[in-house]
Amino acid sequence: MTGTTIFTGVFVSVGGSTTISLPFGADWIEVWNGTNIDGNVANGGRYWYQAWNNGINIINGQGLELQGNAGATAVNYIAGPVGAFSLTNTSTAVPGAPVALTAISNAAPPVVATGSTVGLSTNNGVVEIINTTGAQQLGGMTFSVGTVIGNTSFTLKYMPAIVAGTNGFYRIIPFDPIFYPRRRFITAITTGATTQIRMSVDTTYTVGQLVRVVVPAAYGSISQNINGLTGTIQSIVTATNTVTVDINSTGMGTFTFPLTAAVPFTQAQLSPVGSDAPDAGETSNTLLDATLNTAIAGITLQGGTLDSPGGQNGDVIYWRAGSTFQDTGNVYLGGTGVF
Amino acid sequence: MEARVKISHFTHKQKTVGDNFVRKSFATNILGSEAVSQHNIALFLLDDEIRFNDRQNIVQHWASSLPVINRSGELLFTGPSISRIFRTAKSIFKPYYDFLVATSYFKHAMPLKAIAIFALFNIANIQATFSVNKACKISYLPNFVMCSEIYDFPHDYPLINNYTVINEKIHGERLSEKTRKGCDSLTSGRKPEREIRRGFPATQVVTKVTEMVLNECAARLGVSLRQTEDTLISTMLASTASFINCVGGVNGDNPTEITRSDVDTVVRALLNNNAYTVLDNIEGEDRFGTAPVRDAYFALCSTQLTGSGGLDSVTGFIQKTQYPSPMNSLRSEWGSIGNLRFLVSSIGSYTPNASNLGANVYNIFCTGIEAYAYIEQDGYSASFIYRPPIYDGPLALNASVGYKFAQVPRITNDLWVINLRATLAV
Repeated sequence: MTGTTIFTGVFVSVGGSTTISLPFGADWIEVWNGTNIDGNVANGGRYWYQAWNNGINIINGQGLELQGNAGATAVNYIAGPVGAFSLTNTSTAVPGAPVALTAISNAAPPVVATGSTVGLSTNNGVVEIINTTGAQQLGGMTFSVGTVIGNTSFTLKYMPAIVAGTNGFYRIIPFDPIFYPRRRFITAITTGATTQIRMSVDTTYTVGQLVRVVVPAAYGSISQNINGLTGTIQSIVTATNTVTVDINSTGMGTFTFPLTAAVPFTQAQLSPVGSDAPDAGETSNTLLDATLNTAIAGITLQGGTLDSPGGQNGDVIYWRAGSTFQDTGNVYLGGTGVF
Repeated sequence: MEARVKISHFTHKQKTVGDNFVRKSFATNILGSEAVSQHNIALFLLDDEIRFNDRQNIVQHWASSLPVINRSGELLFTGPSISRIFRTAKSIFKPYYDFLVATSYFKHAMPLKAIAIFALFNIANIQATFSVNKACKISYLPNFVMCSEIYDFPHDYPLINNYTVINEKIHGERLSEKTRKGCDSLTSGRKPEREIRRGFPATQVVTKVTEMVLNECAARLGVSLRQTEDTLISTMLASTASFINCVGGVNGDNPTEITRSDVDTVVRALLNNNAYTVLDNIEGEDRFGTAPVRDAYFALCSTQLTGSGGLDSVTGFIQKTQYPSPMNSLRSEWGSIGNLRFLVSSIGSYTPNASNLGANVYNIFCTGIEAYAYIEQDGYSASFIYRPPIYDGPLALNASVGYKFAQVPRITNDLWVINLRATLAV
């Protein structure tokens, strides 16, 4: 096919990187920083990037930036900042490399001591704990990151206190399971007329959704009573990442997080199974939930600085992206490009 | 594929009959099976307009791409003529390309005299499959090869072999001439054909796409489509279905490698949840090395779990070759353990580095009947979309093919599908 498909859009920068969803598979993008242009700023006004099908990007993902001199008497295209543009597909993202940790404390929340927190920031990100001596029960679980002290430590935001562990690893998990709503690990349950359930990773549940509580025997006496029950989410406390469900768990027993010796075991989990009312766009609730594919394929614009296509906080960014097809002749009769 | 078999059968008979065309045609229909004769007569009933229209097209393309001595304008090809039977294609065309040799045979229609002979056999209930390519114009070359097949298969045995090879690329029907609607979707040049065939109401002809490039594209797109569907379903299940870790193994990880106790655990869970098994049992037979197979739930998993580090080492594992009747196994099936029958796929689901020790965790979706579904949105499933070159631009240079689908995978009952998570034995 010969031709070009073009999509356009605009967004206001939040000062960080911005991923533009381009499901049609764009291979080039132009970006205009309306704020900088209106302000007659010499730099940071216009960018151009193209990723050819053979993988050769313009200047290795830096793209081109139209810059002027201080007096705005001359303009020129130069290479943009390193990593200014990057092709993104969240459905194929892979976990980060293992990073050594030296200890997990018995505080609440537990503090993970490590010499490197690259890629982590306070209240931002998800990590997976791997093979920690004395804290094997956390292995393979994912946790939202709480307070980060650069190259020193970070906290497992929603994890109760555990018996301290020592050496192990963590890795950054750059993605959520792509279908929403997702299954989550349970870190704590408070029983009562209604049941409060805390999860290890920031919840994306909403009030009204139906969830099934899966609590294996390793989690104490509550297991034999609450395991397999479903409840509708009544409320959500974001600060503690806790949902309250309409399960009367009075007298059901105690939720006890397993110790390191319990490994191997099946983790407690909260699974979405439906909703008490149709979601937007649904006509009935005859089927269960987890149908929304949230994966994004597109281009990520680096932001935060003047010379970045993603712009600084508050900048208005206009973009135009497209996918251009060209004839090579290789796929046609004779393979000689006779067309 | 039916056509390929018949033609192949025919050519083998033909080889022994002789070189004279009339004699071959006649004798073949006498000595050959009735089916061959029926096939012959059915093919003849097709309209000459098709090949003449196509011939004009192919002349244009050959002139720009492949070397050939073009004699398309000669009187020889202007209409049905019994003279054709005395001409061999090799004496007229001298192409440098085997396909062109084959193509040149298309010019030779079935002689009227032979037709009359065929008619003597009063063919009825003809069920023949033949291939034309009016709707597919990525390349015209294979199209004409198929036309050659239609009209000239009695002529030259080696060329028939070529046709057979090409025919193996047939993948699906595009236009059905069994119905009036199918006929009407063709060009007006097909109308006489319909009229002729109405004179033989028992004649049935199935039109298939024989376009090599298009067929190959369709085949690849078909694989892509199904793999995409599989990936979406498995990703959905991995995102949301409840799981049970394998804990019976000894590899020191969490989850461990799969063991018989883990299989029993998940089967028990499905039974407790009143999930129906998907497959019936296979009764035992008095055969060495076989064992009866229980009625079973499906266990969908990655091919990485095959072999001694995975399923094959589990107590009670029955390889599908050990089934009492292996024909009852599925192509993707690897074997059974207890009440699970394992279907493996190279794109089977796994969660990278998700075990306690950082190993890949393989998701084995153990499912009862009707545990999940694929909901078609907007009233359609997958659509294969072919746009002929005429839509490409004023010069009609390029065609495009693709597929689209609007489908949503959903769990219909979360109790009937359980993700059994496992790592590999060290």
